[in-house]
Amino acid sequence: MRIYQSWTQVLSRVLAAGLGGYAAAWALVFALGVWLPLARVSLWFLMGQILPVPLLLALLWAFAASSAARAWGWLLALAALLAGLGYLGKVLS
Amino acid sequence: MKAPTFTQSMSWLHTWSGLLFGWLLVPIFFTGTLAVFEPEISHWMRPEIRHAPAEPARALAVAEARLRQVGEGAPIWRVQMPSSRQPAVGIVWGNREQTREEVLHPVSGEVLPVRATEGGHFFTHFHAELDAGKVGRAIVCLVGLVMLAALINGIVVHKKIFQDFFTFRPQSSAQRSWLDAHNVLGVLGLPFLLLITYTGVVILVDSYLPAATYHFYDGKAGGPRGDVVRSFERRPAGVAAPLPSLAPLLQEAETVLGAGHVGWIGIRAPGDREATVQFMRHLDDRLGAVADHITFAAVSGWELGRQTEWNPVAYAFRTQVGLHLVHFGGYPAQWLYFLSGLAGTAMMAVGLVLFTIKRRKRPGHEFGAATARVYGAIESLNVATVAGVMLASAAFLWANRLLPADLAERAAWEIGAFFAVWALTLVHAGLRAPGAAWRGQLYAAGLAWALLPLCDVAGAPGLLDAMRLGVDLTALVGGLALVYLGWRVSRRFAAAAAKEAA
Repeated sequence: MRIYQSWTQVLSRVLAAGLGGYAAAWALVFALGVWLPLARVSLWFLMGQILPVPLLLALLWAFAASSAARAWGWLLALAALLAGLGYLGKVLS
Repeated sequence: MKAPTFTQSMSWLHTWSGLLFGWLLVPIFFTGTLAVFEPEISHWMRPEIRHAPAEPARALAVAEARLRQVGEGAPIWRVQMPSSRQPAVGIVWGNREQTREEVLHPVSGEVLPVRATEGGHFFTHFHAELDAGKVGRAIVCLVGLVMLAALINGIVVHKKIFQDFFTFRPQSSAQRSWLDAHNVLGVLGLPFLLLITYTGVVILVDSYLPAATYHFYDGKAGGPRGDVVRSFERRPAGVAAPLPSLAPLLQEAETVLGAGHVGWIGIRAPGDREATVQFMRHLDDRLGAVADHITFAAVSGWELGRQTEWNPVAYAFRTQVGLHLVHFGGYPAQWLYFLSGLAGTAMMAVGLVLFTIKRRKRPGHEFGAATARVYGAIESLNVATVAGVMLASAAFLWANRLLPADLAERAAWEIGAFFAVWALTLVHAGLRAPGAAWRGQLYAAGLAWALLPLCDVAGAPGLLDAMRLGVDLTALVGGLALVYLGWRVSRRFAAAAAKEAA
C-alpha cells in the first residue's frame, strides 16, 4: 500500500514524529514546570504520568498530517510556542 | 498524488510500525508475560529451596544468627523475609561497593546450597531493557509508544469494532480467519493492552525523555525518589556497642506495618552505637508500589521515624507502576495478567503473520527487484521473533537444570543459552522455507515447554512443591498448545501447497 509520495516523505514523517515530537514534549515539560505552582517532586511525578500523551499525539499527527511539511511545521511551532511560554514565565518570576 | 485520508494514514502506520516494532514487541510482551510469575520461576530455578511454612519471628531469628556469624564488620546488612511466593530467607551483607548473599531455610536456618542463577528476574530484566541498560530502556519506551499508537490506529482501522468482536470465521480463508483472530484478541484485550502499555511507558519515559529530571533535578536521576522517601539513617559514631536482639523491634514494627507484612529489613552500621534498623512493608496487597517503613535506633530501641503517608502525586505515579507490576491481588490478578499477556502476544504474532499472508497471496513490487528477498527476510524474522523467542525462553529454563551446579559464571551461561538459541532460531528461519521454519520452531518450542516437567524432575530430584508443580503444569499446557498450533500451521501450509500444485 503506497499512500505517501516517496520514501523521503516517509523518512521525513518518521523524523518529524521522533525529533519534532520529542522537542514539543520536552518544551511542554519545561513550560509546565515554570507555570504550574507545584513542588518539584510533584512536578516530576506528574510529568511521568502525562508525558506518554503528547508523545503519542505527536506520533499520530506526524502521519495523519496532509504533508510532511505540515507535520514538521505544527510540531516545531508548538515546541517553539511552549518553549517561549516557559522562558516568558522564567523572565517574569 | 492525493493526500491520504485519516483512515488510510492510520492503516499505513498500523501495518508498517506493527511489522517493524512487532519484532521487538512480541519478545517484550512474551517475556513480560512470563515476568508476571517471576517469583515462581525464580523458585523453580532454585530447586534446593523447598516450600516451608515460615513464621516472621523465627525467620528473622535465623537471619540474625547467621548475619552475626558472617557479617561482622560489614556496615550494611539486609534481610529478605520469606513470603508465600518466595519461601526462603535471603540475607545480604557488605558495603556500598560489594555485597555477598546467602539463602537460608526459614525454620532450621540451614544455609541452602542454591545454584547461581538470575532466576525469573532475567525475563523481567529483558522485558524492561532488553539486557541493554539505559539505552535498552529508552528503546523499550519507544516501542511502547509505538504500541500505544498501533492500538489507537488499530481502533481507527477497525471502526466496526463491536461487530468485529462477534465475528470469527475459523473455517473461512486463511487471511480472513487470521484477521478475525487478530481483531478478537485485540478488542477483547484492549483495556488490558492500553493499561499495560501506558503504565509501561510511564515507568520508562524518563529514560527516553529525561526533561523532568533535567529541569527539576539538574539531571540527578535519584533526586525524585530522594524527595519522596524519607530516610532516618544516622551517621555511625565510630563507637562500638553490641547490637541487641532484633526480635522486639520486629514486634513493634508489625504493630505499625501489620503482622506478617514486613518484607525487608535493613540494618545499618551493626555493632556501632548509632546503628539503625529499618523495616519495610511488602507490596503484595496494595495498588501503589510504595513500601511503608519504620526505623529504630538499634541500641536504645527508640523509634527514629516512620513513613506511612506519601506525596499524593508520587503515590499516583507509583500506582501506575503497581498496576504494571501486579504484585497486588494475589494469584487471581496475576493469572488474569498472565492470560491477557499471552492473548496480547498472540494478537501481535498474528498481526505479523497477517503481513506476510496478505503478500504471499498477491506478491507486489513494494521493494522493486528485491521484493521477494525482502519478504523472505521478513518471514524469517517473524518466525524467529515469535516461535524463536518462545524456544529460547524454554532453553533458558532447560539450561538451569542441565548446566552443572558449580559451573563458574553459571548465571551468565543460562542467559547465554537464551541468546544462543534465539540466534540459532534466526539462522534456522533464514535457511528454511516459511512453512518448514514455522513448523519446526513451533514444534521445537512446544516440545521444549511440554517436556519441561520431565527436565525438572530428572534434573532436580526430590519432592515437588506447589509452586514448582505450578510452573511445570503451566509449561506442559502451554507447550501442548504450541505443538497443536504447529500441527495446524503445517496443515495450512500443506493445503496451500496442494492447491498451488493442482
